[in-house]
Amino acid sequence: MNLNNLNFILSFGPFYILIWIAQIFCDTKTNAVWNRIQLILILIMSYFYIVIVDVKFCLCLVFISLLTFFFGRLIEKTRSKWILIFEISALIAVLAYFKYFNFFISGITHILRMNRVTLNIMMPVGISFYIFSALSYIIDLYKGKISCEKSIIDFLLYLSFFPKFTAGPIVRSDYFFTQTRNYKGINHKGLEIGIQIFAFGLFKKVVLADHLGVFVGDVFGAPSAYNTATVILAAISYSLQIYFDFSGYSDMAVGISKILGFDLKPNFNLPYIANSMSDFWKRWHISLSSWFQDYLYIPLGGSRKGETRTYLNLIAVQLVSGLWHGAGWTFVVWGMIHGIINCINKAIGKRIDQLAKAINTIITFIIVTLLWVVFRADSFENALQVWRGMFTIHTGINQPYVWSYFAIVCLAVATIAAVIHSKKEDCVDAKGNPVVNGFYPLLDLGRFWSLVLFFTFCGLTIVLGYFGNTAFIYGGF
Amino acid sequence: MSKIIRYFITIFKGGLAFFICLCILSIFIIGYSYPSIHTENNSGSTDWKLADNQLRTNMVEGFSWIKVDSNGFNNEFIENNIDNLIMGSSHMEGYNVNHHENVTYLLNQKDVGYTYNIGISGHTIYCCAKNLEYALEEYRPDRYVIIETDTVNLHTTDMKSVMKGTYLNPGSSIDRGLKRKLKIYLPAVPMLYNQIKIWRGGDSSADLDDGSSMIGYKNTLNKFIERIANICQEHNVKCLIFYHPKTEINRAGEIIKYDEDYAKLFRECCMSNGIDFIDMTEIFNELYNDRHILAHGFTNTAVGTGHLNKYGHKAIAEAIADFIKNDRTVREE
Repeated sequence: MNLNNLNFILSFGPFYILIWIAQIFCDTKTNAVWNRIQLILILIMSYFYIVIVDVKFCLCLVFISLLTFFFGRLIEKTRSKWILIFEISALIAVLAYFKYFNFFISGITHILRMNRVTLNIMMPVGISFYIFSALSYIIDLYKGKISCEKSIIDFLLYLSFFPKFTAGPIVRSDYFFTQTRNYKGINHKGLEIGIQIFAFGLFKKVVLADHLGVFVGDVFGAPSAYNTATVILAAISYSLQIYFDFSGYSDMAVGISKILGFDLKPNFNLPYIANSMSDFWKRWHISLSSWFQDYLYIPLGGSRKGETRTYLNLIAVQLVSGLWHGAGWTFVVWGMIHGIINCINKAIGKRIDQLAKAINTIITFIIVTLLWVVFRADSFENALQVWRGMFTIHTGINQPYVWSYFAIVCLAVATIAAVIHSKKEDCVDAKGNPVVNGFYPLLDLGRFWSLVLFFTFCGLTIVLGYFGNTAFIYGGF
Repeated sequence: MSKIIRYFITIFKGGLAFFICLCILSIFIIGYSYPSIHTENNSGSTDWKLADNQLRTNMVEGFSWIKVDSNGFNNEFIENNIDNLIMGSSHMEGYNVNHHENVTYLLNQKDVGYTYNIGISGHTIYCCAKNLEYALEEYRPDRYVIIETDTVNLHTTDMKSVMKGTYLNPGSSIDRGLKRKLKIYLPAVPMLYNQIKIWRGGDSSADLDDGSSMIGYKNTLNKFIERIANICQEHNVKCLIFYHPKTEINRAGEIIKYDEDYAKLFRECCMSNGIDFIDMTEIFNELYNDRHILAHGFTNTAVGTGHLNKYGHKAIAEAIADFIKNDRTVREE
């Protein structure tokens, strides 16, 4: 179930009350028992939200969870490479069957000029995310980075934890299990912070992303009907839509987790202020980028095996990343172009550094926007039509979509606020260089006027919200 | 005891904060999207009307700020002698465009006599046909009664119920009691309620299809049009029905054609009953093909969908004015 679905928000209340009742019973003696009960309630809650979508999805998740749990124990006991390979193959096979079977079969039948065969396969919700979580658990276990999780409850919860289930972030097992082992239950502070982060995400989703989706859908549906300015605005709007949609979801996931007493790391950090493509991938879908870095790029050799190999590795990683996003040639090409640009970026990196940072940021945004066109288009022909519409001066419908400008203003305000906040807080990266980080403008809800402000913000979100199409873009991956 | 008191204080604080929030939102909504109050219309010329002299703002679909006249309809001024009377739905209520951009205002600039508009939301052609007699008795137009419709594919059950006198407007929306008070004093509450209703998915309206045959449909439509013609004849006024189709575009960038056969049938029935009929399809197509302008949709909504925009209103006003000035009745055609 989507986190922005009103039925989800309404059903969350009773579950939260149950967890809160369990919290009341916690005292120094029985703390651990009641905290386990709370975790069981969260697990039930997680499976409840999956079952109401489709019980088959639940069965698939249980199968993957049990398979990974027991093979994890086996791997820790035997340290067998073959068991690891078998488990990884099994997980990838499940993902490949549900997500890529029709794609590969249609490719093969096309090459062999046979009649097209497709199976009616329904892809389980969140499969790309929980299989990647399972893979990271197994690999880390084999490498000895973590020890095997003994509690089946914790393990089931790791893969099914509902805030992150549909569209991530992909949480590393050690980070999650540390929290389940030291779980302290829910508290007022968590509720106060979590509810604000959730509201913030909801605003991004229903006010910004969903309104933008209307315009983007219109223009991408018939690009030749619109004039140049409108097609360019639609391409920019899609860049904003996918950002607000996905980061909005991530905020909601972080917020709900916080309410339940868990911490999830932010998945986005102002990606459109990135001044290079590699910087962009450090700021966009951070959990996936770091997953690919740790479990694909580095095992392939990273940048340790010479220049040519580094470039090949970069392209390979982005290619797989493209394929991860969807079973379609547009995604493959999108990933490949990202890989190539990453290579160019790396090759001329020094020269680019001499240019002003602002110009780099604009260039990166333009490239990312142009590539999002391929990502959004339902075919190459469609992508080419949009590109043609952007680069040739022609007449057509003029639609200066107001919500696009509103979204641009919101993004600009958020970015300026982040720059000021980062300077004030003296934010630096790992190398000690100053860096701009996003932040949540949190209020102290104990104060009366803060509460008024928060209620008004929630009210405005509902008043301004678009509730026609509420599916998350990344929920489909 | 002190803990309980503290809980009560917290709840009171929360409640007060929520109430202040509703007040702030209400002020915002007055400027952003104030839908005005629907009241009874005892004359029967419409099923309801807007509260007299009220402000109606809209930034949800288009941008407009209008003031309703002293009868509760969207007219800039009222004259005693009405030449043409417009009946229709929310398209004619025209809350998506400003005063000087709607059909009525534009017609009043075109030397076709004084035109008065009683278009109001939810008043489809069935509703207009049901109320026609009362409207003509109340306003007594000298020349034309102009009826707006955005569809020519009518439902036989609805047409039959109009003819039987049993038709009930499915979108009845008179504001009474608490709903009325909230709309006046705390408009944020009904606005939030409506949005939450849509959010829950309770706003989907199923399209009716009674599966009647085309011959049966034609007979019913003919009787339905005949009824309108008879009422107009009794009141010695000409009737003009204009149809404005949706202007959505397909992947090739062409306007999607809807209900062409039904439009043809509708025209035939109008002609055979002496009713004038304007089909805006070709005019809207020309507007799009020549100037890339769509008659529906706004800069804050989906392209080509929803209500008539200022270009649509202008095209309709010009078509009607041209028709009336030249007195191109169907018989002459």
